Amino acid sequence: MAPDSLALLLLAVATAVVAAVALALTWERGSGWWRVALRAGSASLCVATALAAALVWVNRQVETYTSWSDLTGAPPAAAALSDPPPPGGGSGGRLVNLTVPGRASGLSLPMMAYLPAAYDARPTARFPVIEALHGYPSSPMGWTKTLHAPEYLDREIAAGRMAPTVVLFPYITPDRLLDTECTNLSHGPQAETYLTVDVPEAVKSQLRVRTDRAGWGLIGYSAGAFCAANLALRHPTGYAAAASLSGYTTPGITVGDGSENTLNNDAWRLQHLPPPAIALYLGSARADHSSLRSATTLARLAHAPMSVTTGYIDGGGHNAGTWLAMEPTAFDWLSSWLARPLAAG
Amino acid sequence: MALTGISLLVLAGLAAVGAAAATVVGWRRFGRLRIPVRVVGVLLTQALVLLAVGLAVNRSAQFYTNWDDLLTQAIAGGRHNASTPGQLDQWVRQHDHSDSAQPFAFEWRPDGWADWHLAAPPTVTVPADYLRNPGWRYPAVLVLSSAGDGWGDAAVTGLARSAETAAGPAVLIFAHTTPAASVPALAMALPAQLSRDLRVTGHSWALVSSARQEPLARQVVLAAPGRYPALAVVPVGAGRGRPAGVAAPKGLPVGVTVAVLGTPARTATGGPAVVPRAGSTRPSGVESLRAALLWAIRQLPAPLPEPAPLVRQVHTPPGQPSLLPPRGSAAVQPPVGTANTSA
Repeated sequence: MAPDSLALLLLAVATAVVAAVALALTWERGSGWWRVALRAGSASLCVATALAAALVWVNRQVETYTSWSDLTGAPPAAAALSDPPPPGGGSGGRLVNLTVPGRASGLSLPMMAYLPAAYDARPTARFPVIEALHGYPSSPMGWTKTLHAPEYLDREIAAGRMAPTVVLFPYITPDRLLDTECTNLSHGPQAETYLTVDVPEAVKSQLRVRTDRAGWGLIGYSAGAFCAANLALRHPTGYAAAASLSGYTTPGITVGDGSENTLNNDAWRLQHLPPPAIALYLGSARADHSSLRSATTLARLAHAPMSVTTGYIDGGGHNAGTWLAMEPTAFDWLSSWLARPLAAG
Repeated sequence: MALTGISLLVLAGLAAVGAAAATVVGWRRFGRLRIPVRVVGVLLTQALVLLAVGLAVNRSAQFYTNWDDLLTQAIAGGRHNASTPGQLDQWVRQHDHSDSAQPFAFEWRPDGWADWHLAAPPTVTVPADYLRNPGWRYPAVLVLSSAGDGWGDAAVTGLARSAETAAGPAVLIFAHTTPAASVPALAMALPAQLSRDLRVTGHSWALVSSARQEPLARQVVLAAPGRYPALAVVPVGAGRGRPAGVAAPKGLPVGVTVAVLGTPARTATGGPAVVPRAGSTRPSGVESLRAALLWAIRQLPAPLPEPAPLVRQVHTPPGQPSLLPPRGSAAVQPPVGTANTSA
């Protein structure tokens, strides 16, 4: 029973109901200090079980803890991410689990990768790559379970709107409740190095992917959206394009070196540094005022050789429904900017 | 009552307080029914407290901004792409007698081409599958050469066929320049005109230039780096000793990838890129151009149809795996010969 399972949610709700019943039944039981203790205990149990049910519900929404090892703080095993389907089991792609040895960052974390059906059908080809970055608090399961990324990718590739592409789902933080915003924290994890050095290095050595900048892109939602745009701006020789779904101009955290106001602030970068020749897709719901304001600000500040495409949807919010709505367009857009699969020879 | 409004939040808070008060008041009442009353009172109070907290968080973070968004995920709006590319498609269909089995080359004489100061009308080659995929947009490679480079039109079709076979489809434009060739024309006017005449992408083209044309090519890239993020420079005079003075263009924006044939390709500021292979010995002029075309095409995106439009209206019951496109929603390509306009 995983911490993000429906079974656990139902169990938590049932426990909360049982706790309320117990409180009602035991209120008049006992006498003296025993009665006081019994009442306090059952009342506390009521509050705790109700909070637990609420937390399980929230966890199911954001997919922050997907295995018990995440909660206990043990290093997540690759198998904890998912049970990938067997290879070649159908016309669609498949998920595989990799381990990224963090030689540069010191972070060694598991990572899921989506391999398109063509990966098996064209055994010598090298494919373009998209790093898909999750929000905070969340996990790669946010992409694969909540946003159904493998299903979307299968359909967009089958429809021909997207070239066969390898899509990576790395963790953006080693600690589920530590918000790194994909930066190198001064006294914390070196998430930026992990995502821009260790992940590409591991993938280039373990999978048949393009090794040049033209074949690499980024996509992210919420915190991952800031990550995608910021990493593309900071590493234009590593990535050709990035799609930001409900992103921000600033990380909203203290990096430790003040860079949240300068080099890790995308608006500051566009105002003070020469823009790189990258392409950005900035998507937002119009009702998500903060993200909309960020997108319009970046679009206004960007100029050649940088290219910006915006996509706004009416209504919506800062939620999975909005990202589901923007997801296929953003993946298709990314594919139109990334270099094609490379035939052998 | 707005989902993120203060009135709903206040109402939820008052309801929580009221439920708590009612539970306390009714705790010892209702006789034999007091146990179920207590249970309902406790659970109701807890639910309303959590609801109030949830509404406060939602109001702060703007997760769900309206009831439709929360309950039905109804999203309206979207992006529109209004353009009528491919005005020459019908003309190509009428004049391509190869039954779309081979790339089709033709002399392209768009309006105003004389102002571009080229030595002759450009030669354009459309890939073999161009007419079979009328909804697709193709990336393009612009080849700049001048008299004396030895890149005659006679080799164009063969080169295009060879390059397409090895690297995939792309539209190729061969332009013979003159000293008066206009940078704005090559950077902007030519792509704009070709974007009307053929179904080419609006970005991510590649530029191949002979070494003699490298200064012009560099200016074209600088004028439109988003259009030409990849530049290949081909030494000329192959076969008559090693050509001298071929260096990678400098001062290009970060992110533009440059390859000087026979040397490792580099992304501006030193990023990784592809090493073009033209053979272990220095190749002939046409072989060099073929190698450059291969490298350039491999930098391009695959030909693709337009991205899926942003969702305009989605209606999914809450709790359902939502918004997934139905199976079998692959783009339906109209049959050849039904779309596009004549020139």
